[in-house]
Amino acid sequence: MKILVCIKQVPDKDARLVLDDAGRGIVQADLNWEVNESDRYAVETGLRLKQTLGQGEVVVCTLGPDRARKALNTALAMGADRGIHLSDPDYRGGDPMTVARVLAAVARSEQAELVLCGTRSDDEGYGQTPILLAGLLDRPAVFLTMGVEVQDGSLKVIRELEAGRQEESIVPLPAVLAIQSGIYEVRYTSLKGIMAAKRKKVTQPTPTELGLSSDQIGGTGQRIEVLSMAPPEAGGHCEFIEADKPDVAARELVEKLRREAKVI
Amino acid sequence: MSKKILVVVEHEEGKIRRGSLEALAAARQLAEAWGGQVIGAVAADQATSLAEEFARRGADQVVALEHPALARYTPDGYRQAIAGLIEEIAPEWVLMAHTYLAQDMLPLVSAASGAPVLSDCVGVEIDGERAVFLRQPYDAKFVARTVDNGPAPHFATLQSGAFPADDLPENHGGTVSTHAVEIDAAALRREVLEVREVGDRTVDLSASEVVVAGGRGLGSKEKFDELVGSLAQALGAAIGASRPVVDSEWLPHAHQIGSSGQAITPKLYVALGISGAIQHVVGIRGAQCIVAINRDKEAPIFNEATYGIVGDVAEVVPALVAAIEEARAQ
Ligand SMILES: Cc1cc2nc3c(=O)[nH]c(=O)nc-3n(C[C@H](O)[C@H](O)[C@H](O)COP(=O)(O)OP(=O)(O)OC[C@H]3O[C@@H](n4cnc5c(N)ncnc54)[C@H](O)[C@@H]3O)c2cc1C
Ligand SMILES: Nc1ncnc2c1ncn2[C@@H]1O[C@H](COP(=O)(O)O)[C@@H](O)[C@H]1O
Repeated sequence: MKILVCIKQVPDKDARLVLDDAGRGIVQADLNWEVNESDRYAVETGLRLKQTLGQGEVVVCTLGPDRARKALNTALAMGADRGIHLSDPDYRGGDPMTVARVLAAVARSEQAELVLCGTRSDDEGYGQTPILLAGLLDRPAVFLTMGVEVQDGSLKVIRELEAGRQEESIVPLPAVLAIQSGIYEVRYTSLKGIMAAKRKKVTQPTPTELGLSSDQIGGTGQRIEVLSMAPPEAGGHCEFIEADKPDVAARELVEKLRREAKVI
Repeated sequence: MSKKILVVVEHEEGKIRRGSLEALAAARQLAEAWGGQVIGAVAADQATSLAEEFARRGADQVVALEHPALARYTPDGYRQAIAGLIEEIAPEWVLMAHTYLAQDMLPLVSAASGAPVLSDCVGVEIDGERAVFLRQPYDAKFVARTVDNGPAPHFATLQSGAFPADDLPENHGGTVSTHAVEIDAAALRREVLEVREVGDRTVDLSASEVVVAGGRGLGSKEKFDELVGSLAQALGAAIGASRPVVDSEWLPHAHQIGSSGQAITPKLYVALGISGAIQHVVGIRGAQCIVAINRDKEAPIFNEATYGIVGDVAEVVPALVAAIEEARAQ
C-alpha cells in the first residue's frame, strides 16, 4: 500500500513569536522550527501500517519554503521512504483550500491509496486541510483518528469523540485520515536513521508538473485573508502575585488562598 | 435580496447542543446587521420537534431534513443533506459550532464550492456587507481578523462559549418545514460499528475539591511526578493533566482534563506549566478558584486564572509546598 503522509513545519512550541511590521503575520527569521505535533503521529501511523502489512511505501510530503526540508528529513530519519517538497514560490501563502488543492494533486499523481495528515497545524490552527482534501479527492475521511487497522482491504478506524467516547467504523480505501495526537508513541530518530535519510530521494514537483494552474494555489488562489493580527487583550481578571523571590510569592499566594478565596 | 444565514444544528439524544444555540446567537447578530434571515437545518430521521425548538429559540425558518439514514451521524449522510439545502437556499454564510462533528464534516461540504472554513472563531465584526471573523492562531497567542474573499456561501465555525446563547428568545415564532431528503445509501462510506466509552474511567476528578494538574511545561515524567506529586500531596489534591502529558504516557488518560477528557468543578484548581488551550480550558470553567503557574506571562491560562505566578515551576512549586506546610504548622 502506498501511504502519503502530509506534514507541516511550524514554529517550535516555545518560540517567542513577534508580529511583523504589516501586523498580519509573525516574523519568521530566527525562529526554531519543528514538525507539527499531530503530524509526527501521522508519520508514526504510516510507518506502523507499513510494518504491519509487511509491504508498501511511505511517502512524506510538505508544502513550505526551503527550511521545510528539515521537516522532511525528520520524517525520513524516522523511516519514511521518500520525500516530496512542494517548495515552488507559487505554492506559498494561501489558505487551507489552496494547500488542499496541492496535496490533492500530489495524492493523485502518486496514486496513494491512503493519505495521512495531522488534525490541526499548531500555527494557524485551521484544522480542516485533511477533510477539504478528502472532499476534493472524493474519498471518505475520518477526523481525529485514534486507531487504525487494515482489514480485508478496508480500514477499521477509531475516531475520538467528545467527553471520553470513541466511534469505531469501517471505511473503504482509498481514504484520508486525520491522525490525532496520542494515537501511538512516536519513535525517536536514531543516528542510523539520520544517516539513512541523507540517501533518500526528495523530489520538488512544480505546479505545472502536478497539473495545477497558479491562480488556484498559493497567495493568488487564496480566499482567506488576514486583515490584521494582534496580541489578545487580557480578557481575564487574574491577580498576578509579583515578587522577586519564589518563596515570597508562594507565601503571599497561600495567604490569599486561605484568607481571600478561602479554598484551602 | 435579504441575506440568509444558515445554521446547521447539532443534536444529541434528542437535544440541541448548546454550541448550536451559540451559533444561532452569532447568526442573529449577522442577520440583524444586514436585515437578513436566519435559517436552521436539522438533519435526523425525525427532525421536526428539534426544528420547532430551534424556531422558538430564534431561527426565522427551520428546515427539518429527514431520512432514515440520518438517524445517526455519518459525514456522507450529513454532507448530502446539507449540500442539497445550500444549493436550494443559497445562504450567504453557513455557521456551525466548532465541534468534532463540524470538523469531521463541514469541510467536505465547503470543498465542493472551493471554500475553506473560517474555523474556531471567537468573535465577529460587521464591516458593511462583509463579516470579519476573529480567530486565534498560534495557540491563541494572537487574535487575527479574518475574511473570506471568495463568493458565497462562506463557512465559519464558532468556538464554544464565544457567542453566549443566554439572550436568545424563548418564543421567536420561526416557521418549520419538513423536507424528505434523498440520500444515496451507496455513498455512505463510513459504516459505524459502535460508539463506546473509552475504557479507562479509573480516576474520577469530578468529585475532587482540589485538583493540581501539570502540563507539557513540566518537561519530563520525572519532573511531573516530583512537582505535581508534591504539591498535590501538600494540598490533599487529586492529580490532573493536560493532553500532551497523557499523549507522552506520563499519566493514563483517566487523568486528562478538557474536551477529550474530564470536566471538573473543584473549589481550587492549580495549573502548572499548562498554556491554557481552549480544549483544556473547557474542562476547568467550573472551578471556583484557579491558580496558574507558568513562565510565560502571555500564556492564555492567565485569562482564566484567579491568581497567577509568572515563574519556573521548578522554583515556584517547592516554594509553594514549603509555604503550605509552614501555614499548616501555624
Ligand atoms: C480535538 C482536540 C482535543 C483536545 N483535547 C484536549 C483535552 O481534553 N485536554 C487538553 O489539555 N488538551 C487537549 N487538546 C490539546 C490542546 O489543544 C493543547 O495542545 C494542550 O492543552 C496543550 O497542553 P499544555 O498546556 O500542557 O502544553 P503547551 O501548550 O505546550 O504549554 C506548555 C506551557 O508550559 C509553560 N512552561 C514551559 N516550561 C515551563 C516551566 N519550566 N515553568 C513554568 N511554565 C513552563 C509554557 O510557557 C507553556 O505555556 C486537544 C486538542 C485537539 C485538537
Ligand atoms: N503546508 C502543508 N504541507 C503539508 N501538509 C499540511 C500543510 N498544511 C496543513 N497540512 C496537513 O493538514 C493538517 C491540518 O492542517 P490545518 O488545516 O492547517 O490545521 C496538518 O496536520 C497537516 O497534516
